[in-house]
Amino acid sequence: MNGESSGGPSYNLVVGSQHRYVRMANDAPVMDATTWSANVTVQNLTLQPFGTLDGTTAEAAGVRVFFVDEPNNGVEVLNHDGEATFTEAVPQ
Amino acid sequence: MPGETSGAKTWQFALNGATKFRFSVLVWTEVPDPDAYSVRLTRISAGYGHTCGHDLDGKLYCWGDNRYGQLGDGTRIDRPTPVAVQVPTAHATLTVSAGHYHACGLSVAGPAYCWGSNVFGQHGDGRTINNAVPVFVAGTY
Repeated sequence: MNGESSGGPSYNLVVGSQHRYVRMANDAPVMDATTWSANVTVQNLTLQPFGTLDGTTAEAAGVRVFFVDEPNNGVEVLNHDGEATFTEAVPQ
Repeated sequence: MPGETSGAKTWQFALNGATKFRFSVLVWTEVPDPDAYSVRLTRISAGYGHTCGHDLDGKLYCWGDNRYGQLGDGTRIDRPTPVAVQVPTAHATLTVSAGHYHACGLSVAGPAYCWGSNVFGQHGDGRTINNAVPVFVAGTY
């Protein structure tokens, strides 16, 4: 993945529960015969600062969205940023 | 930050003849190590838009509205998490009280100091100029 951390103490947090901890939303999608596209945002619904190492300064790639299951009916994601693996279940 | 929405990113899918599709995602994020930025306070006092407190060692912290320097950190930048008040290191704080737009602390050794709004002379320093760092109350102790 791009956007390496600038250093400093931090935890990594994997967040689920749409509309409880996070809200993912998209504007009106644009679709033609071959492609579907939309602008997607992530809203932090928790009291915990997201994407920051010090509670104030935003990290450039401090929030990322991972596909757990990609479409399995021939639809392909066209603009992945990359791949990464979660190697620890505890804060790292 | 809490409640904040990220900038938009465009997602694109090649349909390859499909008319519908589904997927699931998780959000990953960096968060501060709570031990690195959190503080353990023994006493706090809430002002109008800011709060101050001190820990067991007498170190002072404030957070919130900082338009008049009422966080005492030498800036006028609002802080959503505690920042250290720039009290001279020799003066551990015994107690702190936050006013409307200012705050004052009383040190273990005796001297009192104030910071933030000073339009009415509430810092007791003989002036009416706001101070973004603590100034000692005038007089002898």
